[in-house]
Amino acid sequence: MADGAVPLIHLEGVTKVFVTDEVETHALAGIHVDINKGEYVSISGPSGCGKSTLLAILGLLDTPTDGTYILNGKPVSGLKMQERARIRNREIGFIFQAFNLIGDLTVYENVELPLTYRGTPGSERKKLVHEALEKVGMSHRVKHYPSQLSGGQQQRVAVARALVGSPSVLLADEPTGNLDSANGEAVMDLMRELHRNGATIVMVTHDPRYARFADRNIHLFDGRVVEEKMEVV
Amino acid sequence: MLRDLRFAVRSLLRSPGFTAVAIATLALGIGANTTIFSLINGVLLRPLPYHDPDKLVALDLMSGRSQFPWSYPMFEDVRRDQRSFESVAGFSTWSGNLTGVENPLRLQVELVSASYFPMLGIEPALGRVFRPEEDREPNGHPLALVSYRLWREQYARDPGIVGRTIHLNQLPYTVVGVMPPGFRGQTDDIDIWIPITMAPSFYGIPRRLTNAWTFWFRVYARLKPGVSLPQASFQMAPLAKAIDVAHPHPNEMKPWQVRANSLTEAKTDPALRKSLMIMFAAVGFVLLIACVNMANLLMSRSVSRQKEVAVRLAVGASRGALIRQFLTESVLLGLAGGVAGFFVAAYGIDLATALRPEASGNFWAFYSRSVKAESVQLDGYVLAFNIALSILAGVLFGLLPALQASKLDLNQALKNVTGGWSAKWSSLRRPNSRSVLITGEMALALVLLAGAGLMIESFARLLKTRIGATTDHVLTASVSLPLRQYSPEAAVRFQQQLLGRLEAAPGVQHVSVSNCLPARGDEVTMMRTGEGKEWAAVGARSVSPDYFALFHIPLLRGRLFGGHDQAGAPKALLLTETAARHLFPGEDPIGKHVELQIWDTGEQVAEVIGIVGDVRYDGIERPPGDDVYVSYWQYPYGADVAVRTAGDPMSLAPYVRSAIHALDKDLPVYGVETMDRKLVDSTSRLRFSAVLLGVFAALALLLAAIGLYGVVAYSVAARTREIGIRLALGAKREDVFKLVVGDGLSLCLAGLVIGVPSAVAATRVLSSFLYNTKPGDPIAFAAVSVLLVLVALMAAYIPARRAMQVDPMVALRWE
Ligand SMILES: Nc1ncnc2c1ncn2[C@@H]1O[C@H](COP(=O)(O)OP(=O)(O)OP(=O)(O)O)[C@@H](O)[C@H]1O
Ligand SMILES: [Mg+2]
Repeated sequence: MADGAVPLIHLEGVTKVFVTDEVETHALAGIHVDINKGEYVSISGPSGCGKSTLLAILGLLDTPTDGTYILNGKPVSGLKMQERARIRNREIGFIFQAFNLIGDLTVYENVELPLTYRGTPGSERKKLVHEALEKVGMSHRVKHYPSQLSGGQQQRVAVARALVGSPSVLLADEPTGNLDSANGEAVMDLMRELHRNGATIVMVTHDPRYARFADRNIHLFDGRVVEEKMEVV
Repeated sequence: MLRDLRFAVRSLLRSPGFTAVAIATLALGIGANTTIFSLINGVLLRPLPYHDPDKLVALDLMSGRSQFPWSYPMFEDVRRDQRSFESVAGFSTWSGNLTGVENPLRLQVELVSASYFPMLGIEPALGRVFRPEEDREPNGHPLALVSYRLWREQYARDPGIVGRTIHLNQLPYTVVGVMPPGFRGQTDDIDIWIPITMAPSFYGIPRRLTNAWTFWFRVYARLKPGVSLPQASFQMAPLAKAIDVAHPHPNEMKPWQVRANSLTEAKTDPALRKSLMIMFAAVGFVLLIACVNMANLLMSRSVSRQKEVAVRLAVGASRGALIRQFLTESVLLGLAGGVAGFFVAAYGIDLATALRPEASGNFWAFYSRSVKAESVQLDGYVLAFNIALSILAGVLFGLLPALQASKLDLNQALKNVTGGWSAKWSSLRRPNSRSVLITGEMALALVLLAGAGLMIESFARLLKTRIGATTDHVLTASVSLPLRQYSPEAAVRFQQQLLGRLEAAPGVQHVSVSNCLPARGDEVTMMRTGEGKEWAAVGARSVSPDYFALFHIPLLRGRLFGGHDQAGAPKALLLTETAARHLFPGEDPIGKHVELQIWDTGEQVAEVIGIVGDVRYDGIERPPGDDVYVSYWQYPYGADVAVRTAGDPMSLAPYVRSAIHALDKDLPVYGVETMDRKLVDSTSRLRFSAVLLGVFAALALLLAAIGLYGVVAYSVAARTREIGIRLALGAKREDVFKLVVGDGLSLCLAGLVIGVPSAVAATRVLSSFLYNTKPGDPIAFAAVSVLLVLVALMAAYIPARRAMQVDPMVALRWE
């Protein structure tokens, strides 16, 4: 790898402290993580250990209390809102446990949304949306509303929405948490497929079966990385 | 039912914020309606304060389309020959000077037939009224009745007033009784009544009762039992014919007709009736908007009460029981709003009566049914209306939310799945009951705004209207010289002395005496431009020479009056531009002679000496008419003194009073105010409609803004997660801001799309009230549309700001 020396994501000493009603919660306590381009990383750990918090910081939804975050060679922890929104839009694709499709928008419009915020011209948007839906096998349902789809189908649309703008990294927070095992299986197959085609994926999961698909597993406990192990594929 | 009520009270008390907003909203809506209803109740619904008022009629003497007052010989003919009426009475109003009291008073006097009081069913508070035999003989019975007010204020309620002699225009009258409190005659300002047969001495015109061509009073009658108004009208035809025969007209004139009209109708200003009806519709709109807000509030509330509803249903409540529970709550709210609205109405009535449009009473129509504090009150009828409206409103705004809430899908609500039932309400994109209601609300608000905008534009144009005279820095005062005491020569002498004294005062530039003032001239005379020509009615303005300089009325041709245009000299006459154009089309009128029938002086010939600029005499809003000026020194009639000063005109008021009293201490001075102040009075009718409609439109706008704010804010709250997702996907804060504001704006624009055409149609009813403004006036419509959009933007701004603060982390959370 030509850029193997410079990781896509570099976290150093990242902490996150939530202060509510005078109670301080140390959700993350000094995280050091490097993630390379094209890697498939899973994050696991008991409930409340800080998985979602870490993912939010990676996705620039939240800022660390302390520490450095370098994304694509650029420090991003101190950026202004405006710039963070731009990076979120271009570099990050989110897949949520709760699908989080917008009920008022059709499948097509949901997938189109990141491109709209990016200002991509209409004809190109159309092409990209169809390609993305093609990849997840949902191109026959463009006019449907989310409420007319099954959970597995909704999550596949959500995946299409995450990858439509070709982001540098896909972040997934328990993408199978709301799905039965058959549908969960299908979504995980889809993730593997995307990874094989070069996508960088960071996925939070409880399920050891799915964690095994990853190149590497990061285990968190009480806001710290307690174990990092490479999976043998 | 009682349990429902108890629960409703408890549930409302549990959310005091919601309850307070709801009651305030309803108080404004119901209060506005109660206000206008109390005006309608006081002006239109309240029966005339007379015995059996439905039987009373006004008899109008008509020739062609012109209405004439009656002359005494014609009245006597009709009274003698008619068979439809129990009684017939004539009356006329004139002002007179009451002397022999501490300060001489200028009072309104009503000259009445003896049958007048029994016909109206008015009993004296003290003494007696006039007897039938006391109105037969000219000048035969110098008797007087005084008003309760005059008795209280000038005679300290002394019962010995009966039998005492008072002096009216220096003539003695014997008081025979005191009228009951509240009765002030047909013009509602009368303090003294005398028999109509005293007219010759009272007016100082000997032929008042015998000249068939002196028209000076009005006639009322009471229908006989069993005779209907149409029957009576029908029986008037032969009587009118008899007048034609008995009093052949010297000139070409259409035959007489006598018309019988319901007195109630005759005393109701049709313009006021219409404007009250328009206001009623306007406040109906305001209440509708308030109800829409309430329905939306209740719907948001019932979303947060889903769990409660679900539990109730789960334990076996029927849908009917739930609807009843919800309606009990909304009717209770309605009634609470009604009580608060009653207090709002008390303020509203103060405002309306303070704005009281000057009753447009002139000789032809004594519109006694006008907006007056005495008649517009919160009485039992208003209370009943208020309660009925409160209940109706409660049912109206409660029904839809009750139906919606009770239709809850039990399974979903208990599972509490996001994106279920409640999400249906959150979206403003796809049409739902909320967005439809808000769109309607916006449309209603626009209609009201358009109406108010047009009225306000009219009012502004009216205020800017050039009346043809400059009126600032002018003080006016009136002093009426009793004819009996002041011969024309004496009157001229008096006024010349007075003007001389006033001219000498410091700062005074011009002084004049006249029978008119700009925007205030009602004397009419017949004039023709030569033998055999047609008689035409023209405005007769008698002015002293300096009048034109004082009011800056330009001389266009010829010359103005000079000191030599006096009694004895040939009569001189000035035409206004309009009169010259109409009366002498294509001719040069200067030097021509015209014939006048002026002030009972018989036909006279006058020479046209000049043409002056037009002045609006018939109110500000009417275009200038055909007016002619005669010299006050030749026709000394009229009592309006005007003074132009360099400084504050009011500071001269004491000087004017003392100057008059130095010449005659028994003359009352009245109407002392600036000319500008007098003009304000004559815009009062348009101001009344413009201000009230403006207030209602502002209310509508406020309520619509609150409604829009509520709906947008609710949608932001319900869509927090969606907004979080959008932010997570890279939406910038401005994108979210635009999204929310866009939602609000699209509702407003939808409201405009419906509202503008509706307003174009609805404001057509205003056309008769508008002044120089068309109902579809594009400027007014553009202005109010922009205003509505701006307010909608403001209403959406706050929730949009809140939406910008949404933490994108909500997208990750899974409750
Ligand atoms: N906004 C917040 N305010 C206060 N405390 C928070 C906030 N968000 C997270 N926390 C706390 O931070 C810690 C880590 O939370 P986080 O959501 O990252 O856990 P998690 O590993 O994702 O758990 P789970 O597996 O249950 O999703 C928890 O103790 C949580 O209570
Ligand atoms: Mg989590």
